[in-house]
Amino acid sequence: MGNVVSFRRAPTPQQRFEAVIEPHFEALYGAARRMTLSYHDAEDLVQEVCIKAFAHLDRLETMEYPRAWLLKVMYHLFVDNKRREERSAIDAAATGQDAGQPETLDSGEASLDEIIDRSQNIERVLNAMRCLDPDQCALVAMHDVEGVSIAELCAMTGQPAGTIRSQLHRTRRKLGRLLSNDAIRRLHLKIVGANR
Amino acid sequence: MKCQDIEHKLVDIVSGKLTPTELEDCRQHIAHCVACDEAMRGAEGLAELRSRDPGSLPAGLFETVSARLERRADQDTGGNRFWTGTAFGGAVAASLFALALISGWIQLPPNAPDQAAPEFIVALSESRDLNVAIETEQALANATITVTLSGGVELAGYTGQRQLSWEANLVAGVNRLTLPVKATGIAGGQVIVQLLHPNSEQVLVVGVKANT
Repeated sequence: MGNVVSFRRAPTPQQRFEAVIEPHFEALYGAARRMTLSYHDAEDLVQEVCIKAFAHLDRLETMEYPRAWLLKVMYHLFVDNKRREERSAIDAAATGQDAGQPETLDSGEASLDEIIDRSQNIERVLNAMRCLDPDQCALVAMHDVEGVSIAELCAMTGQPAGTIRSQLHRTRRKLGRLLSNDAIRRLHLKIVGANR
Repeated sequence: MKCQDIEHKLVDIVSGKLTPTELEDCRQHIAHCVACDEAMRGAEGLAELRSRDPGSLPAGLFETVSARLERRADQDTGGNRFWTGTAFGGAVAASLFALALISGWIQLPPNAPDQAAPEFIVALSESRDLNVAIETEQALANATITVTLSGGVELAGYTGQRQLSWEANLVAGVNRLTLPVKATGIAGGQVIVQLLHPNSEQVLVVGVKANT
Protein backbone atom coordinates (compact mmCIF):
# COMPACT_ATOMS: atom_id res chain seq x y z
CA MET A 1 0.00 0.00 0.00
CA GLY A 2 1.16 3.55 -0.73
CA ASN A 3 2.01 6.19 1.78
CA VAL A 4 1.86 5.35 5.45
CA VAL A 5 0.35 8.12 7.53
CA SER A 6 2.01 7.91 10.87
CA PHE A 7 -0.34 7.84 13.80
CA ARG A 8 1.44 10.59 15.58
CA ARG A 9 2.35 9.49 19.01
CA ALA A 10 1.83 12.90 20.43
CA PRO A 11 2.78 12.89 24.10
CA THR A 12 -0.17 12.20 26.32
CA PRO A 13 -0.91 14.60 29.19
CA GLN A 14 0.58 11.96 31.44
CA GLN A 15 3.82 11.88 29.49
CA ARG A 16 3.93 15.67 29.38
CA PHE A 17 3.36 15.79 33.11
CA GLU A 18 6.18 13.34 33.74
CA ALA A 19 8.55 15.27 31.49
CA VAL A 20 7.90 18.52 33.35
CA ILE A 21 7.67 17.26 36.92
CA GLU A 22 10.13 14.40 37.22
CA PRO A 23 13.28 16.59 37.08
CA HIS A 24 11.94 18.56 40.07
CA PHE A 25 10.23 15.80 41.98
CA GLU A 26 13.08 15.11 44.38
CA ALA A 27 13.37 18.81 45.24
CA LEU A 28 9.62 18.93 45.79
CA TYR A 29 9.70 15.93 48.05
CA GLY A 30 12.63 17.40 49.99
CA ALA A 31 10.72 20.63 50.51
CA ALA A 32 7.62 18.72 51.55
CA ARG A 33 9.59 16.70 54.09
CA ARG A 34 11.09 19.84 55.55
CA MET A 35 7.69 21.40 56.11
CA THR A 36 5.72 18.36 57.20
CA LEU A 37 6.30 16.08 60.10
CA SER A 38 5.56 12.73 58.57
CA TYR A 39 6.26 10.86 55.39
CA HIS A 40 2.53 10.51 54.76
CA ASP A 41 1.94 14.24 55.04
CA ALA A 42 4.88 14.88 52.71
CA GLU A 43 3.50 12.49 50.13
CA ASP A 44 0.05 14.04 50.39
CA LEU A 45 1.50 17.51 49.97
CA VAL A 46 3.58 16.47 46.96
CA GLN A 47 0.53 14.87 45.43
CA GLU A 48 -1.53 18.02 45.93
CA VAL A 49 1.16 20.03 44.16
CA CYS A 50 1.19 17.49 41.32
CA ILE A 51 -2.58 17.76 40.91
CA LYS A 52 -2.25 21.51 40.53
CA ALA A 53 0.69 21.07 38.18
CA PHE A 54 -1.33 18.67 36.05
CA ALA A 55 -4.06 21.29 35.74
CA HIS A 56 -1.53 23.93 34.65
CA LEU A 57 0.56 21.78 32.36
CA ASP A 58 0.42 24.16 29.39
CA ARG A 59 1.67 27.01 31.54
CA LEU A 60 4.34 24.96 33.24
CA GLU A 61 5.78 23.75 29.96
CA THR A 62 6.52 27.29 28.90
CA MET A 63 8.03 28.42 32.18
CA GLU A 64 11.69 29.18 32.45
CA TYR A 65 11.78 28.14 36.10
CA PRO A 66 9.05 25.59 36.78
CA ARG A 67 10.69 24.56 40.07
CA ALA A 68 10.05 28.01 41.56
CA TRP A 69 6.39 27.82 40.55
CA LEU A 70 6.01 24.33 41.99
CA LEU A 71 7.63 25.34 45.27
CA LYS A 72 5.44 28.42 45.48
CA VAL A 73 2.35 26.27 45.07
CA MET A 74 3.65 23.94 47.73
CA TYR A 75 4.24 26.68 50.30
CA HIS A 76 0.82 28.16 49.58
CA LEU A 77 -0.73 24.76 50.21
CA PHE A 78 1.37 24.37 53.33
CA VAL A 79 0.00 27.62 54.76
CA ASP A 80 -3.56 27.22 53.47
CA ASN A 81 -3.98 23.59 54.52
CA LYS A 82 -2.75 24.21 58.01
CA ARG A 83 -4.97 27.22 58.43
CA ARG A 84 -7.97 25.26 57.24
CA GLU A 85 -7.43 22.48 59.68
CA GLU A 86 -6.12 24.79 62.34
CA ARG A 87 -7.16 23.81 65.75
CA SER A 88 -6.06 24.87 69.15
CA ALA A 89 -3.32 23.15 71.02
CA ILE A 90 -5.95 22.09 73.52
CA ASP A 91 -7.89 20.33 70.77
CA ALA A 92 -4.74 18.61 69.70
CA ALA A 93 -4.09 17.51 73.24
CA ALA A 94 -7.69 16.36 73.71
CA THR A 95 -7.72 14.26 70.56
CA GLY A 96 -4.21 13.01 70.97
CA GLN A 97 -3.52 14.05 67.40
CA ASP A 98 -0.44 16.14 67.32
CA ALA A 99 1.14 17.70 64.27
CA GLY A 100 2.65 14.36 63.32
CA GLN A 101 5.01 11.66 64.36
CA PRO A 102 8.08 12.65 66.32
CA GLU A 103 10.51 14.07 63.87
CA THR A 104 13.12 11.80 62.38
CA LEU A 105 15.99 14.17 61.99
CA ASP A 106 19.41 13.44 60.75
CA SER A 107 20.78 12.82 64.20
CA GLY A 108 24.45 12.30 63.43
CA GLU A 109 26.25 12.23 66.75
CA ALA A 110 23.59 14.31 68.51
CA SER A 111 22.26 13.21 71.87
CA LEU A 112 18.58 12.48 72.38
CA ASP A 113 18.11 15.83 74.15
CA GLU A 114 19.72 17.64 71.24
CA ILE A 115 17.50 15.83 68.76
CA ILE A 116 14.39 16.74 70.75
CA ASP A 117 15.50 20.37 71.09
CA ARG A 118 16.12 20.58 67.38
CA SER A 119 12.80 18.97 66.59
CA GLN A 120 11.04 21.46 68.85
CA ASN A 121 12.86 24.37 67.24
CA ILE A 122 11.84 23.23 63.78
CA GLU A 123 8.23 22.86 64.83
CA ARG A 124 8.37 26.36 66.23
CA VAL A 125 9.74 27.71 62.96
CA LEU A 126 7.05 25.88 61.01
CA ASN A 127 4.33 27.24 63.30
CA ALA A 128 5.68 30.77 62.85
CA MET A 129 5.84 30.35 59.08
CA ARG A 130 2.18 29.37 59.01
CA CYS A 131 1.38 32.75 60.54
CA LEU A 132 2.90 34.56 57.58
CA ASP A 133 1.07 35.65 54.50
CA PRO A 134 1.23 32.70 52.03
CA ASP A 135 3.12 34.77 49.45
CA GLN A 136 5.63 36.00 52.01
CA CYS A 137 6.07 32.50 53.38
CA ALA A 138 6.63 31.06 49.91
CA LEU A 139 9.11 33.75 48.94
CA VAL A 140 11.31 33.57 52.01
CA ALA A 141 11.20 29.77 52.18
CA MET A 142 12.03 29.39 48.53
CA HIS A 143 15.07 31.63 48.87
CA ASP A 144 16.37 30.88 52.36
CA VAL A 145 15.37 27.21 52.64
CA GLU A 146 15.15 25.79 49.15
CA GLY A 147 17.92 27.89 47.61
CA VAL A 148 15.89 29.41 44.79
CA SER A 149 17.98 32.27 43.41
CA ILE A 150 16.96 35.92 43.36
CA ALA A 151 17.01 35.71 39.54
CA GLU A 152 14.47 32.86 39.59
CA LEU A 153 12.28 34.76 42.02
CA CYS A 154 12.45 37.83 39.79
CA ALA A 155 11.45 35.77 36.77
CA MET A 156 8.61 34.16 38.68
CA THR A 157 7.19 37.30 40.26
CA GLY A 158 8.16 39.84 37.60
CA GLN A 159 9.59 42.06 40.32
CA PRO A 160 13.06 43.64 40.35
CA ALA A 161 15.80 42.15 42.50
CA GLY A 162 15.79 45.10 44.90
CA THR A 163 12.11 44.64 45.64
CA ILE A 164 12.55 40.93 46.19
CA ARG A 165 15.44 41.54 48.59
CA SER A 166 13.40 44.08 50.56
CA GLN A 167 10.47 41.69 50.79
CA LEU A 168 12.76 38.92 51.97
CA HIS A 169 14.22 41.16 54.66
CA ARG A 170 10.80 42.32 55.85
CA THR A 171 9.56 38.75 56.00
CA ARG A 172 12.62 37.59 57.95
CA ARG A 173 11.96 40.38 60.43
CA LYS A 174 8.35 39.35 60.77
CA LEU A 175 9.38 35.74 61.23
CA GLY A 176 11.96 36.80 63.82
CA ARG A 177 9.24 38.65 65.74
CA LEU A 178 6.96 35.65 65.52
CA LEU A 179 9.70 33.37 66.79
CA SER A 180 10.10 35.65 69.79
CA ASN A 181 6.39 35.57 70.38
CA ASP A 182 5.27 33.68 73.45
CA ALA A 183 2.11 32.50 71.71
CA ILE A 184 4.17 30.56 69.19
CA ARG A 185 6.19 29.05 71.99
CA ARG A 186 3.12 28.13 74.00
CA LEU A 187 1.44 26.58 70.99
CA HIS A 188 4.52 24.58 70.29
CA LEU A 189 5.04 23.46 73.86
CA LYS A 190 1.44 22.37 74.26
CA ILE A 191 1.53 20.28 71.11
CA VAL A 192 4.74 18.60 72.14
CA GLY A 193 3.27 18.01 75.57
CA ALA A 194 0.23 16.30 74.06
CA ASN A 195 2.42 13.91 72.17
CA ARG A 196 4.05 12.47 75.24
CA MET B 1 27.81 49.09 58.60
CA LYS B 2 24.23 49.82 57.53
CA CYS B 3 21.01 47.83 57.72
CA GLN B 4 21.14 47.35 53.95
CA ASP B 5 24.53 45.64 54.29
CA ILE B 6 23.08 43.25 56.82
CA GLU B 7 20.10 42.64 54.53
CA HIS B 8 22.50 41.46 51.83
CA LYS B 9 24.69 39.38 54.14
CA LEU B 10 22.12 37.76 56.38
CA VAL B 11 22.01 34.39 54.65
CA ASP B 12 25.81 34.30 54.57
CA ILE B 13 25.94 35.15 58.28
CA VAL B 14 23.70 32.28 59.31
CA SER B 15 25.39 29.94 56.82
CA GLY B 16 28.79 30.67 58.37
CA LYS B 17 30.20 32.01 55.13
CA LEU B 18 31.69 35.24 56.49
CA THR B 19 35.21 35.75 57.73
CA PRO B 20 35.53 36.29 61.51
CA THR B 21 36.18 40.01 60.93
CA GLU B 22 33.13 40.44 58.71
CA LEU B 23 31.04 38.49 61.16
CA GLU B 24 32.16 40.63 64.05
CA ASP B 25 31.27 43.82 62.13
CA CYS B 26 27.82 42.44 61.42
CA ARG B 27 27.27 41.32 64.99
CA GLN B 28 28.16 44.74 66.32
CA HIS B 29 25.52 46.33 64.11
CA ILE B 30 22.90 43.68 64.92
CA ALA B 31 23.48 44.08 68.66
CA HIS B 32 22.34 47.71 68.42
CA CYS B 33 19.65 47.40 65.74
CA VAL B 34 16.25 45.96 66.62
CA ALA B 35 15.20 45.53 62.97
CA CYS B 36 18.31 43.61 62.00
CA ASP B 37 18.17 41.55 65.18
CA GLU B 38 14.63 40.45 64.28
CA ALA B 39 15.66 39.65 60.72
CA MET B 40 18.63 37.70 62.07
CA ARG B 41 16.36 35.58 64.27
CA GLY B 42 14.09 34.92 61.31
CA ALA B 43 17.03 33.93 59.14
CA GLU B 44 18.34 31.63 61.87
CA GLY B 45 14.98 29.89 62.07
CA LEU B 46 14.92 29.40 58.32
CA ALA B 47 18.51 28.12 58.39
CA GLU B 48 17.46 25.57 60.97
CA LEU B 49 14.70 24.40 58.66
CA ARG B 50 17.13 24.26 55.76
CA SER B 51 19.48 22.06 57.76
CA ARG B 52 16.76 19.49 58.22
CA ASP B 53 17.66 16.40 56.24
CA PRO B 54 14.66 15.40 54.15
CA GLY B 55 15.98 11.90 53.67
CA SER B 56 16.05 10.22 50.31
CA LEU B 57 13.16 10.12 47.93
CA PRO B 58 11.20 6.90 48.54
CA ALA B 59 11.64 4.52 45.63
CA GLY B 60 8.64 4.47 43.34
CA LEU B 61 6.95 7.53 44.83
CA PHE B 62 6.97 9.47 41.58
CA GLU B 63 5.50 6.51 39.72
CA THR B 64 2.83 6.11 42.41
CA VAL B 65 1.84 9.76 42.30
CA SER B 66 1.87 9.73 38.52
CA ALA B 67 -0.31 6.62 38.38
CA ARG B 68 -2.80 8.18 40.83
CA LEU B 69 -3.04 11.23 38.61
CA GLU B 70 -3.58 9.05 35.56
CA ARG B 71 -6.42 7.20 37.30
CA ARG B 72 -7.88 10.50 38.35
CA ALA B 73 -7.72 11.80 34.78
CA ASP B 74 -9.38 8.58 33.59
CA GLN B 75 -12.23 9.06 36.06
CA ASP B 76 -12.67 12.64 34.94
CA THR B 77 -12.94 11.74 31.27
CA GLY B 78 -14.23 8.16 31.43
CA GLY B 79 -17.91 9.02 31.13
CA ASN B 80 -17.54 11.46 28.28
CA ARG B 81 -19.35 10.79 25.07
CA PHE B 82 -18.16 12.61 22.03
CA TRP B 83 -19.76 13.14 18.73
CA THR B 84 -21.16 9.94 17.28
CA GLY B 85 -22.51 11.16 13.98
CA THR B 86 -21.98 9.06 10.91
CA ALA B 87 -20.94 11.52 8.26
CA PHE B 88 -20.98 15.12 7.27
CA GLY B 89 -21.11 16.76 3.94
CA GLY B 90 -18.56 18.79 2.14
CA ALA B 91 -16.58 18.61 -0.98
CA VAL B 92 -15.24 15.13 -1.20
CA ALA B 93 -11.92 14.98 -2.90
CA ALA B 94 -10.74 12.19 -0.73
CA SER B 95 -12.26 8.95 0.37
CA LEU B 96 -11.71 6.99 3.52
CA PHE B 97 -11.91 3.26 3.59
CA ALA B 98 -11.87 1.12 6.62
CA LEU B 99 -9.79 -1.93 6.11
CA ALA B 100 -11.15 -4.18 8.75
CA LEU B 101 -8.88 -7.12 9.09
CA ILE B 102 -11.35 -9.84 9.82
CA SER B 103 -11.34 -11.86 6.68
CA GLY B 104 -9.28 -9.94 4.24
CA TRP B 105 -9.65 -6.33 3.29
CA ILE B 106 -13.08 -4.82 3.38
CA GLN B 107 -13.44 -1.56 1.54
CA LEU B 108 -16.25 0.84 1.74
CA PRO B 109 -17.29 2.35 -1.52
CA PRO B 110 -16.44 6.06 -1.50
CA ASN B 111 -19.11 8.67 -1.02
CA ALA B 112 -21.56 6.26 0.48
CA PRO B 113 -22.46 7.64 3.90
CA ASP B 114 -25.67 5.65 3.99
CA GLN B 115 -23.82 2.39 4.00
CA ALA B 116 -23.78 0.57 7.29
CA ALA B 117 -20.69 1.43 9.31
CA PRO B 118 -18.03 -1.23 9.00
CA GLU B 119 -17.44 -3.28 12.07
CA PHE B 120 -14.15 -4.04 13.71
CA ILE B 121 -13.97 -6.85 16.24
CA VAL B 122 -11.38 -6.92 19.01
CA ALA B 123 -10.84 -9.07 22.08
CA LEU B 124 -11.81 -7.30 25.27
CA SER B 125 -8.97 -5.19 26.68
CA GLU B 126 -6.52 -6.25 23.98
CA SER B 127 -5.43 -3.83 21.33
CA ARG B 128 -5.68 -4.65 17.65
CA ASP B 129 -4.53 -2.55 14.74
CA LEU B 130 -7.28 -0.98 12.66
CA ASN B 131 -5.96 0.01 9.26
CA VAL B 132 -7.69 2.92 7.63
CA ALA B 133 -6.97 3.66 3.97
CA ILE B 134 -7.20 7.28 2.98
CA GLU B 135 -7.40 7.74 -0.75
CA THR B 136 -6.94 11.13 -2.26
CA GLU B 137 -6.97 12.29 -5.85
CA GLN B 138 -4.33 14.88 -5.10
CA ALA B 139 -1.64 15.33 -2.50
CA LEU B 140 -2.87 17.11 0.61
CA ALA B 141 -0.32 19.02 2.64
CA ASN B 142 -1.01 19.62 6.33
CA ALA B 143 -4.30 17.80 6.37
CA THR B 144 -5.79 17.54 9.84
CA ILE B 145 -6.65 14.06 10.97
CA THR B 146 -8.87 13.76 14.00
CA VAL B 147 -9.70 10.49 15.70
CA THR B 148 -12.65 10.59 18.05
CA LEU B 149 -13.64 7.70 20.27
CA SER B 150 -17.05 6.97 21.68
CA GLY B 151 -18.31 4.34 24.08
CA GLY B 152 -15.99 1.71 25.47
CA VAL B 153 -13.16 2.21 23.02
CA GLU B 154 -9.63 3.45 23.58
CA LEU B 155 -6.42 3.74 21.64
CA ALA B 156 -3.61 1.79 23.27
CA GLY B 157 -1.21 4.16 24.99
CA TYR B 158 -3.78 6.95 25.16
CA THR B 159 -5.76 5.97 28.19
CA GLY B 160 -8.54 8.41 28.94
CA GLN B 161 -8.14 10.44 25.75
CA ARG B 162 -11.30 10.63 23.70
CA GLN B 163 -9.99 12.72 20.86
CA LEU B 164 -6.63 13.02 19.14
CA SER B 165 -5.83 15.45 16.40
CA TRP B 166 -2.71 16.03 14.35
CA GLU B 167 -1.50 17.15 10.96
CA ALA B 168 -0.18 14.89 8.21
CA ASN B 169 0.89 15.18 4.60
CA LEU B 170 -1.02 12.85 2.32
CA VAL B 171 0.21 11.74 -1.08
CA ALA B 172 -2.05 11.31 -4.09
CA GLY B 173 -3.36 7.77 -4.01
CA VAL B 174 -3.75 5.58 -0.97
CA ASN B 175 -2.38 6.48 2.44
CA ARG B 176 -2.58 4.08 5.34
CA LEU B 177 -3.28 5.02 8.92
CA THR B 178 -2.95 2.35 11.61
CA LEU B 179 -4.76 2.79 14.91
CA PRO B 180 -4.19 0.48 17.92
CA VAL B 181 -7.82 0.03 18.96
CA LYS B 182 -8.86 -1.44 22.28
CA ALA B 183 -12.35 -2.24 23.61
CA THR B 184 -12.70 -1.40 27.28
CA GLY B 185 -16.21 -2.76 27.72
CA ILE B 186 -18.39 -5.45 26.21
CA ALA B 187 -20.66 -2.84 24.65
CA GLY B 188 -17.84 -1.67 22.38
CA GLY B 189 -18.13 1.72 20.73
CA GLN B 190 -17.06 3.66 17.69
CA VAL B 191 -13.89 5.05 16.17
CA ILE B 192 -14.51 8.12 14.06
CA VAL B 193 -11.75 9.24 11.71
CA GLN B 194 -12.11 12.70 10.26
CA LEU B 195 -9.98 14.27 7.57
CA LEU B 196 -10.01 18.02 7.20
CA HIS B 197 -8.27 19.98 4.50
CA PRO B 198 -9.28 23.09 2.54
CA ASN B 199 -9.71 20.81 -0.48
CA SER B 200 -11.30 17.93 1.29
CA GLU B 201 -13.52 16.94 4.17
CA GLN B 202 -14.41 13.39 4.94
CA VAL B 203 -15.32 11.22 7.84
CA LEU B 204 -15.42 7.54 8.52
CA VAL B 205 -17.18 5.78 11.37
CA VAL B 206 -16.10 2.30 12.37
CA GLY B 207 -18.12 0.31 14.89
CA VAL B 208 -15.99 -1.57 17.37
CA LYS B 209 -17.32 -4.72 18.95
CA ALA B 210 -15.75 -6.60 21.80
CA ASN B 211 -15.32 -10.27 21.22
CA THR B 212 -15.94 -11.83 24.60
